[in-house]
Amino acid sequence: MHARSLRGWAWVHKWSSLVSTLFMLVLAITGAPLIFADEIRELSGRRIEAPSMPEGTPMASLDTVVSAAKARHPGKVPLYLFHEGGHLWFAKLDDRVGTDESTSVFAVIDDRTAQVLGTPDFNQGFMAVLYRLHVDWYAGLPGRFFLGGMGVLMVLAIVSGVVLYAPFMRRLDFGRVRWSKSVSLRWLDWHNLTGILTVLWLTTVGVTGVINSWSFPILGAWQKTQIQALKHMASAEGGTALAASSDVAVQRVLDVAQCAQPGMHPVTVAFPGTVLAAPGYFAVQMEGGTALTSRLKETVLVSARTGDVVVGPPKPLSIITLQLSEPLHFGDYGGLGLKVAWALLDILAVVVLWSGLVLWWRKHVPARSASHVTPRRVGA
Amino acid sequence: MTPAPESSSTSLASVARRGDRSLWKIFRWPLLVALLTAAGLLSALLGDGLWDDLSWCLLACPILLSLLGWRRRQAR
Repeated sequence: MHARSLRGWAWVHKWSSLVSTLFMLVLAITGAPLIFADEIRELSGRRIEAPSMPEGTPMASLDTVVSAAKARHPGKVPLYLFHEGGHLWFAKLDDRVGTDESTSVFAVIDDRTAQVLGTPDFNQGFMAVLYRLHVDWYAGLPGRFFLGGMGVLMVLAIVSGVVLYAPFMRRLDFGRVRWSKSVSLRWLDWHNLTGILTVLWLTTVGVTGVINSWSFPILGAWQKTQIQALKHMASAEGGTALAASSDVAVQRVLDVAQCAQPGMHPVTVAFPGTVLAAPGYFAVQMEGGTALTSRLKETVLVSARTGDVVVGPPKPLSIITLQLSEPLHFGDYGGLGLKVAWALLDILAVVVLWSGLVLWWRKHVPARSASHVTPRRVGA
Repeated sequence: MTPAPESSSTSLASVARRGDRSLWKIFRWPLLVALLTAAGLLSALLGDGLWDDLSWCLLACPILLSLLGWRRRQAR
């Protein structure tokens, strides 16, 4: 490659890294404990567990569950019911549907007795602070987009870094760090080694992070498509589209969804008007039993007016991409071993970011630079 | 011992001019690591049980290879 085009890549690498590095360091450092959020919750005794009951104890009606949640949070309306396993329903409520859900409240309810076991506040505590610093810097949607943009810059830095790896390795064995030469060289060799080792993992986590930062617009666009199709269907039947009232029992919604997708089990019931559902329609997300189908959830739409299942448009590629981007970003899809690997790779990523920063720093702050500074240095 | 200015520089301008290693030689190990990483990322996504264990075993490859950097051997 010509020296001139290499200098171009070096420019791209320098600026894309320089702009994004501090944000990426914050993301990498806050991300590590977030990988173990479940384990931390369990160890700190904050995890709510359902009392043990004989196997086969029947489940309470979902309407009773919803009533219990509403009684615990008077004046609030239910948005979602999440079934997290362990015989628990997590009910999420808010003042109305269609908020940004940042001040929503929860009630954890035993799925057999409909007893409220607790009202965890996921917006409070150390982990919540880490989460917000990782996701939006307390700036809502603009904050998400901003961090997503920083993620794009990081991917650019990775691509340009791979291009620059070649000229630096022309005379060096893979995996070698020159300890006996200058301190700058040692940082450079560590930067190149950890960078090239983590390249695929960091690209995966970076790209999926960018996609996750776009989750609200992606879900919103899909909802719009669904609403349009539903309106079309309703007007073809001559009925009133998107009825506001919800006379249908929630348990019936669950039952008809279960019949529509036998072999899968419900994990989320989204109430009409929320971002996961559509106005006038419940959405029940169904999970399959295999590794992949537990991620690629199927959604069943149920009319809040008639209680019938409606077949909406097929799930678009954008939603499938979003559904796969979550596990590939969180590393929560292969047990504790995978989480530990995720955390160690995250530490390697911190080494890449930090060594890159040190290299730039040593180059531009002469007092701290190595003794043999060459007049012209390109690339970080 | 004074190192030669070129070989001890972090400057791109000085490294770009020399070189005797082909791209294949430079990238064959990184390529293998990338393939193992990709297999590791996918195996837990597509399967359960043993596939989950295979996943973190494969992802351990880049982590363990980073230990190569701690070798302190004499420069040629």
